[in-house]
Amino acid sequence: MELKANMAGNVWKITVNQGDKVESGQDVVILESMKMEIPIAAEEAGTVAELKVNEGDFVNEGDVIAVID
Amino acid sequence: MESTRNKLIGLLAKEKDNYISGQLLSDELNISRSAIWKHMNELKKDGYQIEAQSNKGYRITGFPEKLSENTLKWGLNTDWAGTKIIHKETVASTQLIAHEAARNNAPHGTVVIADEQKEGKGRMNRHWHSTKDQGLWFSLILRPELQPRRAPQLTLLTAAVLADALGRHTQTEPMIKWPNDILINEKKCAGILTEMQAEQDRIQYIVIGIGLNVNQEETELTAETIKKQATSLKVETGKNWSMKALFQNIITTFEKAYDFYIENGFSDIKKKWESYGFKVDQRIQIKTMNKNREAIFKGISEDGALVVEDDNGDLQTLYSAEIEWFNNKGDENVNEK
Repeated sequence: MELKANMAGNVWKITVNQGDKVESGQDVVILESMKMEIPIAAEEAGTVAELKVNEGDFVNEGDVIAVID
Repeated sequence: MESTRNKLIGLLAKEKDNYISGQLLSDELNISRSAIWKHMNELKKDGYQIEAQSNKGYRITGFPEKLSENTLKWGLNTDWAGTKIIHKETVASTQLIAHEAARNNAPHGTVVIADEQKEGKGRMNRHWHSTKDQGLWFSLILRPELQPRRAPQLTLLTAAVLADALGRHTQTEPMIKWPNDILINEKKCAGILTEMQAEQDRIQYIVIGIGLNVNQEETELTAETIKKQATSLKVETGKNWSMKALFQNIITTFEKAYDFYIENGFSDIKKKWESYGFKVDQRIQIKTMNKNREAIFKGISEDGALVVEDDNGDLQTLYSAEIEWFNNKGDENVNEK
């Protein structure tokens, strides 16, 4: 499953590593946009197959942040 | 005892102008009329002003300055904002309590307010210093039916509301430093922290935290901050301000602006924000990941981002940037440590 950014912003923190198991609702990445922290959480439980961003990257709304299997 | 007292205040507070008979109070609270009379004397000692008329009953004519759910609600004329108030004397952070309340289904418009925060939260894990009884430290729970990407507009709306309410209430000229710091005479007087719980396409709830320096003396501010750019309403106006009146003014202004925004969208809020915008049409220094540059601050975009024009006349929209707003002074950490 692809996890997408729900708004444009900077990747402030990545809170998981590739290969980690995540729960549904667990934060994967925290974006910063207009000085707001935007947590992007896994929508289903699974394993982080791929992280598509690095801390400091700019993402647009709809960009894929991570793939969770 | 305590809960009887609170019920009694609640009953009296509901009727702003009418007397309530001792008999009615005694029936409602299931205590004797002489017990009511004793309670009234205790309330007077606590600073409540109570009028007693032998053939009419009792009414409250004034509340103590001390914040409580009752004092904050008394005279507040809103439909949903602040109709539920959770007041605490000392908390780690009102944001934390608001999140907990929101997870437990606290309604839209619920306010969590404290006399003192031990670990007040600023943005990006910074600390916000909240002197006991000297400022307004509160969090507002909202449940908007909006796309998550529109959430930052609520931060800007809140900033415009604060600038508006403070300007009118205290006859000062507040400005907003993008996106949401309130400055008076170029010093920070209030800050806003917006936090959101959302799914991909739906906001579950938003908590807007507001910290407003009200009655601190200059020494109380400078002693607590790294950079001497913080101020309070007291410092700027030379007067003490009623916390309750300020709170009610802000909440009432917020409700109007929010309802207008939900109905009509962001464009009027954007105009209002820009009318208060600090350094609009002036040169600012922008620090992004790997370079520093200068550009002219043109205003905000439809989604609330910073719009700048570079020397070639090209417009750029910035969602995330550190700005040097003051010459030779750091922008960040104002009243945050």
